[in-house]
Amino acid sequence: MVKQAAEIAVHGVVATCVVALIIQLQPSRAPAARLWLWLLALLAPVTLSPIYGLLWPARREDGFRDEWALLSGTHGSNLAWHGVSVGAACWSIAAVLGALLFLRDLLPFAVDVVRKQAVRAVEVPPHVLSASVRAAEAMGMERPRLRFDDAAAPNLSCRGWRRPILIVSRGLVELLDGDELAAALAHEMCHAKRRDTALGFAVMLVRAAFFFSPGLQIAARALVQDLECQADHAAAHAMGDPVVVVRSLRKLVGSHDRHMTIWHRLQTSVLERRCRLLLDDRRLTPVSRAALLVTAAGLALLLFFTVA
Amino acid sequence: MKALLHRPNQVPSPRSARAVATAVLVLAGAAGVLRLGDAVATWLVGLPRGVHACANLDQAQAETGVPVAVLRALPDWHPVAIRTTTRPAPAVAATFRSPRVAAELVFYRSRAGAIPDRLRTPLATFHAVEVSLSRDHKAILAAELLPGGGTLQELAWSDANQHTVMRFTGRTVDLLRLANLIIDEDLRAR
Repeated sequence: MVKQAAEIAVHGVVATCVVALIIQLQPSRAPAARLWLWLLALLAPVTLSPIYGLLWPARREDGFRDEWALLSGTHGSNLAWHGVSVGAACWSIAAVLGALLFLRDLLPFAVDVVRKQAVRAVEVPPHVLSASVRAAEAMGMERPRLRFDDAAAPNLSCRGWRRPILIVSRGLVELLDGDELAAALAHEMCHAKRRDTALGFAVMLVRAAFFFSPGLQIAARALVQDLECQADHAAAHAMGDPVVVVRSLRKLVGSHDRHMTIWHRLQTSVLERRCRLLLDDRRLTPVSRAALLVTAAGLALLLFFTVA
Repeated sequence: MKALLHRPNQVPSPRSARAVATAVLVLAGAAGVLRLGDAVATWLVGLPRGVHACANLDQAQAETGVPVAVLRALPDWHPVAIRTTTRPAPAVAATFRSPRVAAELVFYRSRAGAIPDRLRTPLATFHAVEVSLSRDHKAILAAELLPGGGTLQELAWSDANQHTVMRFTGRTVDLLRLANLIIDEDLRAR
């Protein structure tokens, strides 16, 4: 069990490093392309390590480790420093790092949930309704359910898996003009259309189950950020102007008042990065399927020959 | 503005080829880095790849199936390092020291094959003779000159599908006596 967990942690680091390097070096940097690569970095260690363990138990034996493995944990297992096993120390540090990365995202969210008052649903103002109709038409989808929260904090979120609902706060409506509000709504509608909330929940479950793997935590974070980038690009495409989306994002970044949630404060630098990506036309070329397949096959091979 | 929103349906082939080449290069580089990491760990541990350290002789016997319990014949000698390998033949190497003798004894034994070179580095012997350890046991006694002027002696014999080698920095007579004790214990164990 511990060996299996250690192997998933090692595989997570390998997969995340490989994917991060490919994303940095490849000419294609569209959010969808990055999303697929991060999904690969997240799922390959989680699924392949147990499968390899089940189908090829000989992979863990000395013969394979000594003759075939690229990296074997047993080769450095006797390494000690002042009586402390270096392997065990590395494993402990990695587990603590993974848990910290997980808590970094979980705690602000949990604190906000605890502090958050119940949604004070009031009637949706007509201009918000018309903006949502405009956004839904631009997105080519049926308008999702809308709830107006009479809260001063600028907040817009998509909740629910099967029948997503958009929650718009009074603070956000007061912050954004008509076009910006439509763009922000189009962004959330993209999440609703693609069922991103379900994917986000599944990713959070994987993160909780494999909290000890820093590689997986980094890949999951990057994946969620690229989900947001994808929604930004979809909204920009639907509204016909990325600058409107950038404007709405920057207003959100600039609204540092007492109403801002901890979650949003942590996201500020991420929002700025999303704005830069939206305005960078060089990054819109999609990844080739061939490159994705080669990466998947290569990663599967690489992980097969890496034994904890 | 159109450039910002441009979403080509098909990837131009040179771009695709470049993306594939990048992925291949990164994957190959990662394989190299992993192999290098393994080599560094192996080098830091100080054991060749395929050689493992064991905490005690029982563990070494359990890992390889090579009988080393005969070393109970040498109660004064304490193991200071035990190494094993399983390929190409399972083998054990154990280094012993005794508080009574200012010499080091290294015991090698393999089963179903010669003792692998990665466990036992070959000697540059200047002298080798056949000696008789008992009525049924003939052995080869060889010696190598050490840099300090001393000699390292090696006694090797084969018996019932297992090969045994002893290297000793002490006197020849002590080495032969220790070998006899081991052979006696071996026979008793059977």
